[in-house]
Amino acid sequence: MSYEPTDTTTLPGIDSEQLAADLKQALQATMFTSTLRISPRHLQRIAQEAAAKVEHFIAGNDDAEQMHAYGHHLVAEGFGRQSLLALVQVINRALWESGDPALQQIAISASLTHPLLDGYIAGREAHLLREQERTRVALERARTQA
Amino acid sequence: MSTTESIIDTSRPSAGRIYDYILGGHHNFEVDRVAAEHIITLVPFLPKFMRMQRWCLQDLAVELTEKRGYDIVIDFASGLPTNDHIHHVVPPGTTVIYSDSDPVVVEYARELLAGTPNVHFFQADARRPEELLNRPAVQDIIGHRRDVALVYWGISGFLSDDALSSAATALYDWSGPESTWAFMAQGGDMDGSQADLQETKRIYEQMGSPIWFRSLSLTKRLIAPWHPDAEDYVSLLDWHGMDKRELDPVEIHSWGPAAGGYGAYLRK
Repeated sequence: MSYEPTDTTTLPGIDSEQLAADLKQALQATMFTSTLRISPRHLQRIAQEAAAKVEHFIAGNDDAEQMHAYGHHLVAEGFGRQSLLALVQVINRALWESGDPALQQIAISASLTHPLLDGYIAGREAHLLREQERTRVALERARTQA
Repeated sequence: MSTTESIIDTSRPSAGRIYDYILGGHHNFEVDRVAAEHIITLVPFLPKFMRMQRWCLQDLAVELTEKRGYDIVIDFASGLPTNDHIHHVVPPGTTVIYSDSDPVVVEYARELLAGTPNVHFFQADARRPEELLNRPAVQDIIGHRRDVALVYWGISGFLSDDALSSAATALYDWSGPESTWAFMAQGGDMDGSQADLQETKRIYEQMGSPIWFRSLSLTKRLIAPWHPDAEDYVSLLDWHGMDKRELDPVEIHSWGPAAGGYGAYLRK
């Protein structure tokens, strides 16, 4: 399944603006550990998209498979491990501090963050293997032509 | 951003692969990672600097194409055209010509770009830009036009004074009057005489990719008569709207308040 960005609106039980702001702050604090694409100019957009993904999951519009795809997508965004962990921490805290037992259950069961992390890890592995093969082919071609 | 050394030899560290590793890429080997970690212990600010430098690419791509109207962008010492590079953000129909001196980078890049319309990758030496610009294949692609956007970003520190001056002159002579040269003056206000930077310089020399720390004023003299537009030279920190608190006192002492460099849009 491919990742499709979603719009940010009001999250049920969560202050969506606050969540997006907290996510942005977390990304800002870890941006130097990420790779390439995540620059200061992208943080607002990425934070809003992440908040929107949380909203859709809570509303039941996104399921575990879509969170997995989103985790995969974050690799392409250039998320490093520290940025991902910071993202997960902020999401869990927002779910817990909502005071809504249903949302707290999402945090406790990791039903949102588990597929997200799994998708990210799978995406990283796939990316690494792809790069490894590209490197091998490029070296081989360059050596042949040298 | 590689210059003279070839990374075909995987038994020795390569400046290009070290750059890739520090930016979080995987196009590198253990020998590069060991060298990179050693350099980072000498200059801990290096990863921050490299990221700030690289983050500018998409900004300048948008500036040159959407805001200034160029539909041809020619980039030198491009490194790998990964998903943060120029062609990812330019409007459809924009011609992007990348180049690098390293044959492995060229092969890797061609695989990455396979099937991407209007994006090309050539092997070329940033010290002699005219060799790329006058190549028949390039001339065919750009339709013999000379008013284009040129990019030298993250390479000036790898060029000697003579090489930088000569490249600037070649670009000046070749380009049309309405051309713009997006240029980054690496080093800026850095104090290159410090022991850690001298040791870093020595390591890069050993790898066959010598580096030069030079002041902004010297850089300006070397690339004259190119001159910045009204926005003048912008420090990396200001470019990203970042606060000077991003740097600790030691980093400011070593890298200067510009965080290691200035970017500018140069005109004829």
